[in-house]
Amino acid sequence: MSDIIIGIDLGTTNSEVAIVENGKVTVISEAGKKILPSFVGIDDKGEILVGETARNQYLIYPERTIKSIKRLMGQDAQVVMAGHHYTPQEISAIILKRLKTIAEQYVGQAISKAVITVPAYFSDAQRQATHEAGQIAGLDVVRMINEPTAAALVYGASQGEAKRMLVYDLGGGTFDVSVVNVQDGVVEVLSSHGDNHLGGDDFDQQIINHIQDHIREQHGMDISEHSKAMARITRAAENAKLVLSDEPYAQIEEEYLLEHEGAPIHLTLELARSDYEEMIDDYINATMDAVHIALKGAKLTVSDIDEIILVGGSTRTPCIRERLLDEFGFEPHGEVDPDLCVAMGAATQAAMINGQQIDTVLVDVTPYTYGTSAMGYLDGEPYPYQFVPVIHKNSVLPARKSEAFMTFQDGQREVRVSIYQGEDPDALNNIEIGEFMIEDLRDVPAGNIITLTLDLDLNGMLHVSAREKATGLEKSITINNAISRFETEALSHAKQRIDGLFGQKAGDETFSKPDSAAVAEARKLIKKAESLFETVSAEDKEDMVDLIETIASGIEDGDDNALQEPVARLNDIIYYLES
Amino acid sequence: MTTENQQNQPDELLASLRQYLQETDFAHLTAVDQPDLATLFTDLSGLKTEVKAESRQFKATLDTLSEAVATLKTDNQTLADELAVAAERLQQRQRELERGLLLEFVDIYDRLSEGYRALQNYRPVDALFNHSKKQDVRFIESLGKGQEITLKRLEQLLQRRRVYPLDCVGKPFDARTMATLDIGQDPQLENGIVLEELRKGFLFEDQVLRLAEVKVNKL
Repeated sequence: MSDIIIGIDLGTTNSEVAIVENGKVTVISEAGKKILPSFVGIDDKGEILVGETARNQYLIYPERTIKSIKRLMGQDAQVVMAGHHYTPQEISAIILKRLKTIAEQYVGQAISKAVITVPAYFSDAQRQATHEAGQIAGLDVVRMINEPTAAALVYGASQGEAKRMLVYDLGGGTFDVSVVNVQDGVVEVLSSHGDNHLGGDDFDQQIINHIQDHIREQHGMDISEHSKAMARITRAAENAKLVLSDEPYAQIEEEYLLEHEGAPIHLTLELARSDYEEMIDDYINATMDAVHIALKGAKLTVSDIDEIILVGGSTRTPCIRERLLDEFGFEPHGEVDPDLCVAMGAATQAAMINGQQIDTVLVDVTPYTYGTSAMGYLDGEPYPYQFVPVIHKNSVLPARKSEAFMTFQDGQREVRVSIYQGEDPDALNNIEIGEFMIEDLRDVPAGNIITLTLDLDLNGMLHVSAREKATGLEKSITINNAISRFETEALSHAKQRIDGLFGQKAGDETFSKPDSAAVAEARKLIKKAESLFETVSAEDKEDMVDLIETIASGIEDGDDNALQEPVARLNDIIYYLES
Repeated sequence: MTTENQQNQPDELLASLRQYLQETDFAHLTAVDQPDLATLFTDLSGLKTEVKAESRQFKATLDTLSEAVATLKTDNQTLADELAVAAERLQQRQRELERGLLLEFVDIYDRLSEGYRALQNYRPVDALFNHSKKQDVRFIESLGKGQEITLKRLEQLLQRRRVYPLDCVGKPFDARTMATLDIGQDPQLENGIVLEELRKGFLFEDQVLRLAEVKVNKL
């Protein structure tokens, strides 16, 4: 067996290591964690710390902790850690060595080879430095591949089809967008653009600011000096961000956050997705500009792109998906865990070098978009059946997504909810798969908020519920076989069309009948006899050939009875020959 | 056993043949009954071939059987290995599940203890002409007592689940169990001493369930 080659994503903030076993890509976890923060440090006793422990001490001991060393790779610089000077290569090597150990513990044998990913914009000097880091760590870097290339490999770039992909990579602190060309299984980066200091951490900060403003308005106090309360709202902000990925509203609630004038203060704040999206709008715009710069760099336009791949945890933000859908007109792919995608691609490349079999990374996704219809606009005109997607095509199953809608008439007491499957902006061109009424709504002016939740499970069951936000009044239905039913329908439809082309009636089949048991046995016997030809005497062979001919003509005539006798004789001969 | 049998067999056969020859009276056999030697030898050689063929078949059967045994053994081994892996994975999955659940418990514990702390901080108004009502003070005190009992109950539950709180304040910072979220300055204390716990940390058996988040002294 050839040596194991590991795949490593050596990131600015986080790093991961993956391998291919039995055709499957596995990102290796250590103590339940697949992500290793790219931090290196020295503790009180002079021992080296890598990952979370090093990050833990960053604030108190910055003089003996290093973070984001990737930004310095390839520069003629040195960093000081606990009084000693280190090159960026050496610090990176410490991270690589840790990843190597994690992989070795997992497979139970020594590992000496790796594929490492680097950003597409890395210069030769930066690549050389990464290579050296590998060597220092005791790793033979068999290949270095670009991060977007790795992502493209996970999404089946090696399958031979020629296509152009856009890789949109938004991590915690960095943003990169690349245009790649895939041909004959070879991935080539055509252009790349990005921002070294833009990412999901900025989004968190926006929510934190919003909460701080809210407390200042409500209670007239500045919370930033209270470290304990700050720690709590930082965590609450991050949670709210995650909730808003699936739901239109997030409740931010922190009881007993602070004490003010002798009484406890609780934080209760509702954050709407629309407000959050407004907060991060400038950042998203910046990424969209970068997308266009990258396209320009590749001398391509939006219509030249066949697929979009989402990489980096922050791409879970729904408005990014929506903006790309608006811009390109098709759904981006994000079904493979965007945090681990690059490491998985590195492992895929490693397995390809090793000649290992790799299955495509399979994730259960929905092949259709599910949504509802609402008052809206179609081609610039007001239209009552605009299709509003809730669960988008290629979403990972099980998927649970909510959207908010508003009543559009004063005193509207009921709403008809129709569920459609399809991608057409006109709901009526999609397939309606269910509908129900929600009644007895409050008698209030237009704008009464109804949240619609679609929950699609692995078995294709779609649970739909509509809820009047103010009262909690809820109505729900379950649609069975939301996925498979329409697949069969579409299939039979397609079959009818194709049959029509051949001028046949549906169901008119002229396939040959399957063999009867006697015929099957006879065929098997002939094969066995033929395999013995080389070892038998000429006389025996002649006998056998005669019998085979008799049997063959029996099979052709479809006469099972005529087969019996020659089959028995041939059986005898073979029996004697074999014994 | 088998080799012994094989050795014994020819002797036994010889013995019984000898006995047969001795005991049988051949005198009554007439010349007519006497077999033709040539036919006898042909039959014998035929018999020999038959025996050979049969023994070969036995050997083949034995080989097939031992092959089957070997296959079964490997299959059994593979299955046993798979079972062990599955059992280990199940245990790991269970542990992960338990961890997740315990983390949620610990979060509730945080919030309850924050509430308890707020109650403890309650000071009745005691100005010259302005006093808190006696029964209100009693009510709040009693509420605090109740909270304390609930909190203790939760602590005991966590302990039964082998979850233990980390004690950090006044101790030197330890990167393995704590994360620095803030720094402060207290010249009376040594550098690297934990000043305040921003969030309590917990151990689950010997592993960190949740890091303690701390404010550390930096001189």
